[in-house]
Order: sequence, then structure tokens, then C-alpha cells
Amino acid sequence: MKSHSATPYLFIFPTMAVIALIFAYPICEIFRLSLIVPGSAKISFSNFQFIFSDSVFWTSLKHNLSLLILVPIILVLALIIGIFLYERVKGWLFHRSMVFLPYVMPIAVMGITFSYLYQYNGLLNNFLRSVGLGQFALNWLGNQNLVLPTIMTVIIWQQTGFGVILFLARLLSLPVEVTEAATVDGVNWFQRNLYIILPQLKSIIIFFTVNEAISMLTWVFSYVYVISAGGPGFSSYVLELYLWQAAFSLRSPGVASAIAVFLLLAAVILVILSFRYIGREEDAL
Amino acid sequence: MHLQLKRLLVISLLFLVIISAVNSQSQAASPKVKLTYWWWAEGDAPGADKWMLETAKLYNKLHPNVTIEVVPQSTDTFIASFQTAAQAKSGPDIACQWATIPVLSQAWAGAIVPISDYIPKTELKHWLNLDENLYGGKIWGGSLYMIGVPLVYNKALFKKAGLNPEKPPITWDEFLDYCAKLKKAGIIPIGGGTKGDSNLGPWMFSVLNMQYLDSPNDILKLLTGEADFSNPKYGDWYNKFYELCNKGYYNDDIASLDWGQGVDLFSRGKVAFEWATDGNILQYAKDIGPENIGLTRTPTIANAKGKLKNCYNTTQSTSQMITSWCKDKKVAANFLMFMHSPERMNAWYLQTMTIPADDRFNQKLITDPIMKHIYALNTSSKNVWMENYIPTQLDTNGYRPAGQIITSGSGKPADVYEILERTLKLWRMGKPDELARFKGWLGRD
Repeated sequence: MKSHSATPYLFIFPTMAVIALIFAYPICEIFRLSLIVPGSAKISFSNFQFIFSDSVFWTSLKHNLSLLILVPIILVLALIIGIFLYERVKGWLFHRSMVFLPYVMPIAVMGITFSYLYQYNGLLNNFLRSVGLGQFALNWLGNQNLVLPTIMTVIIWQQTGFGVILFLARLLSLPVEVTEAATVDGVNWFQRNLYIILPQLKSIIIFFTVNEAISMLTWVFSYVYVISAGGPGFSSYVLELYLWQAAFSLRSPGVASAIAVFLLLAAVILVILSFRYIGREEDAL
Repeated sequence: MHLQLKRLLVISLLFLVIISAVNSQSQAASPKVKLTYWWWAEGDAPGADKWMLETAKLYNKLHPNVTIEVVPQSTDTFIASFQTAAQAKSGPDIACQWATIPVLSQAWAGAIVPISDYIPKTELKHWLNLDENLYGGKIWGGSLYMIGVPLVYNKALFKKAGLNPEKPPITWDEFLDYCAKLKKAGIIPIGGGTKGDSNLGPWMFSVLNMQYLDSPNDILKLLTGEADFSNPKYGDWYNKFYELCNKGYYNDDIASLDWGQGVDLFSRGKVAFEWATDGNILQYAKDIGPENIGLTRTPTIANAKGKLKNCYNTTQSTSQMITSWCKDKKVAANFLMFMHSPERMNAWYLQTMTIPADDRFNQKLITDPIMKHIYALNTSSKNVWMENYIPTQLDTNGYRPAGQIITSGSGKPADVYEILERTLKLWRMGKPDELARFKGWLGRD
């Protein structure tokens, strides 16, 4: 038995080297920086103590966790719209493009547009006032209790399109025989979707849920930065913005790295949980 | 004839050889120098980029062996780009940064050299506001132009509210009275925007807190934790700011507008008062007519008893620095001196309509009544811009969000004191070296 064990490694070496350079090195560097004390070369956890003692860190984390509420909302909306489009409602091709359009729009453009729309004397409030609904013309971006829900509406508007396309792609690949047989057996629309369609979408639903949960924890900087920049005060701060402030505005790479490590671990935990769940589901099949 | 021609040819050749030898000797004596200048001023003074390119060209004419490559910088990446360059010890030979803390931070990091080591005192005595970059007895950044923040008012709206447009408010109580009258007449008294990275919060700190202090160095006690914001000397001005917001004297959408949108309100004739830069005012004059522009200092607060109460707030805004890795520091210094030559300073004024920071500038060039008023304000008393004397962390994560909280009605002064204390606590914890530098700098008197 002659072994060629080194040959495959030789082939994958260039790819592994690139991955190591692009991913492994920065991650190691972030861990290293997070453990360096400002003003000395000693290793300690002071950067972590620093962020954990900061109320703005907890406020930001609370906001990120609040954003998780969007995951089921986006999921349900995307599923409903996806199923309707799968049912080929009139003009479904046009509707599909329209639903997906927000997802391909740059967040910066969208954020600026919405920030004009939501200004106290902006388009939305002027419209509400003009139709006699002035009492609903609120300070969407200037009120600390409203700013985060306002940003949430923009996130829902954009992220739903991604879910719709994902679910629709899966729906279109499902075998039609099962649903046809169920229809012949007399199941109604609701039963067909709940008991036949949805179980077949399970893996894609899990993927989308995990992907969205990670997005809400680590991928919302652009929305917040463009729409409110975290204000008023810290009322719409999220962890990424806190990290960005620490790194580029306050020039504290240690603190920024500590936040990055925290976010990385949160994302890794979510990914592991999802893989374990998907693995268990596949074993059960 | 033929012989004569040969002789003439030989003589000409000899002449050419001698000339080229002399020329090569002179070239060897002045080797070619290329300086890279990271430049920013257009945001403060429209026309500055053009002036700078012209200045570099003129300098090259005078010194053909020296080329100045001007690289305009973006406002957003202005500080970060220089920090990256400083870490790598490469990039610009001359660079701009905001005056005082951004400049001194680079001095403390060893990224720049004192300009006073390369420019003679006889020259520097003409440059204005150099104290802003004074540390350890040396000047670390040179001034070029002056920017003040007056309280500008719309004379037409004053008339509409029955106020005398030639008699602006002098005291805070008068200011409140004027605001009340303007509001009663259906006019928004003050304009502004605090959303995002708007600097309105730090500006209010600069123009109001100053009145309670005897010297910029007074801020040190706050930074070290010896005093806190409950001390009226550091916190009472927030009551004045809160009063303006609480009485509805600002535009009702202040918290949902960014800085530029707030500035725009005055340009559109929507608000009666605004704190604005000299540069903004020239734009306002174009937009609403110079006859409608009135200027005054920030009204004085009765219970503020600081020695800085009657000071004005002009600052050099950006400073010119020579980097520590620049190979031709003397040439760089020589170029900075050339920028300050009376001819260049006069050209600066004519091209940017911004006051040059040099006493040799020909004041007779100021013929516009608004510019005359701005010049009078800028030179009438000692100048202090308090924002220059605080750590960036307190500015960005303290006074800025605090301003948003006050203007959005989300909190009262006591609430923002908590935020400011937190910011300073974090700064002390995270930047002990910077705190030590501040002690050495502001504790010098």
C-alpha cells in the first residue's frame, strides 16, 4: 500500500494559505489586540473588563438582541409572500422582482432615502398631516423611544426580499406530485401549505433564521450608521457601531478588538447551534 | 574664413562645456526635492484648494528643484488617514490636522516635529493663534487662516417680529426675550441639526462653557476627575442650552436633521438665529442677501463669572505640520513660510474670503461690510475655542450625544452629566498615557 498522503495537501496548500492569510491571521490578531493593556505590553483582560463595565456596551447589546425580534417577523412575511408568488398570483414575476428590489439596493442609498422620509418634517409626516392624521406624525428619528423601531421597519423592508427569493427558489424545486396528490385528496390551501409545503422548507427556513439572527447581531451597522448614527444619544447604538467608534473615532484598538471577539464568539455559537440542529434533522431523515 | 569659422566653433563648444559644467555643479548643490502635502481647507474656505495649487506652482518657479505635490484630503478620513501614515512613518512630508489636540496627539506620538525648530521666531511672531499648538515651549503646528463662530441673525425676520435689527441681544436674558418675541411672531428663533455626527453639542460647549472658565486649563480638573459636571463651572451651561430647547426656541425637527440640513435652515430664511462659521455666513449672504445678515457674539450669561467670559472663539481650525519622517524638513519649513508671505496671504483672502492668520495681511483688502464685521470680531479680543482643549473621546462620545439628548427632549442636564462622566471615566481607564499628557500640558501654568 503505497501512500500518496502528501499529494492532496500539496494541492490544497495554496487555498489554505490564502484562507489563513485572509481569515486566520486577522482573527488571531484581533484576539491578540483584545488582550493587550493600553500603554503596556502586558497580557490581561482589561479591555473586556472595560467594555463589560460600560453601560453603552450593554445598551448596544440590548439593541442587537431587540433586533432579533425581526427574525420571526421577516421569516413569516417572506414565507407568506413566497408562497403567494409560488401560487402564481397574477403578475407574480413582476411582484417577485419588486419584492427582491430592496435587497439589491445599496444600504447607503436606502438609508439616506429613509432618513429623509422619516424626518420630523419629512415626507411621511407631511403626508400624515395632509390627510388629517397629524397626531401620528411622530419624531421617528429624533425620539429615543422610536428611533430603533423606525430602523427596524427599514431592515424588514430590505431583508424580506432575500427571504422571499430564497423560499421561492426552494418552492420551485419541490416535486409537484406530492402537492397534486394532496389536492386530489381534498386538502385545503391552508392544510397543504402547513402540512406539506412547510415541512419540505425546513432546512432552508433554519438556514434563513440563523443567517438573519447573525445579521441582527453583526450585520446592522450600515442601517444604523446611515439612518441615525446611533442617536439621539445612544438610543440606537448597536455593537458594531460601538466597535467602529472604539476603533476609528476613539482610536482604541484593544477595546474594538474585545468587542470584535465578543461578536465573533456570538456568531460562532449561533452557527454551531444551527449546524448541530441541521445535522440532527438530517440524521432523523 | 574657414579658420575663423573653426575657431568660432571651438570657442562655442568650450563655452557650452563650461556652461553645462556650471549648471551640473549648481544642480549638485541643490538636489531635487519632492514634498508631499496632505492638504485640507476647502471645507472651511472654498477656493483653498485652488490657492494651494497656485502656491505650490509659484514656489516651484522660485525653487525649480523643489516640487510640492498637493494631495487634498477628505474630511471623513482626515484624521484616520494621517494616523495610518504616522504608524507606518511614511506618507506626507507636510500635513494638516485640526488645531490643538489632533496636532498635539501627533506630537506626543512622535509623528511630527515642532515647526518652531525650523522657522525663526522673527517669522513666527507674525503668525496668529499659535498658542493653540504650544506644548513643551514649542510650536507644533502652524496657523494659516482664522475661523470664528459668531451668532448670525436674519435682519428681515427681526423686523417682522418687531425687533430692532441693528440691536442684537447682548445678554442671555435679552437673547431669551428676543427668542420669545420671534416665536410669538411665528418665526423659528434658532436653527440647527444634531443628528449623526453633527457637532452642535460640542459647539454649544465651546461657546457657552467658556464663559464660566478663567482659562482653557480649567478643564483639566474635569478631565482628571477632581471636579465633575455637577460643579456649575462645568455643567451650568447645559441649563442654558436646555432652556433654549425646552422653550421650543430651536426648530422642532432639530433631532432628525443633520448638521448640513440645520445650516440650510438659515440659508432658506426659515430661522432667525444660528451659530455658524465665518464661511457659512458668506454663503448665507449670497442666499438671503447681505443686507439681511446681522452678526453678534454669543450673548453673555449673567451667572457666568469666568475670565474668558468676554473672549471670542476664533480658532485656526486646521494647522500645518511637518512630519518626523520628512527628509527635507528645512525645505518644508521654507514652503510654510512662503505660504505666509504677504503676497500669498493677500491672495488667500481674495480667493477664499477667509481671514489669513498673519498680521502682515493687507487689511485694506477687506472692503465687504460683512467681512469687516467678521474681522473685527476675530481680532477684538483674546480667542479661545474650547473644543480644542478636550480629548476626542469627550467630544465625540460625550458632548455630541449629550447634545442630541438635550435637543431631542430625551433627557435633562442631570441625565447628560451622567453620560459625560461615564465618557471621561472610560477615557481615563483606556487612555492613561493621554491623561498624563493632558496633565503635563494643561497643568503647565
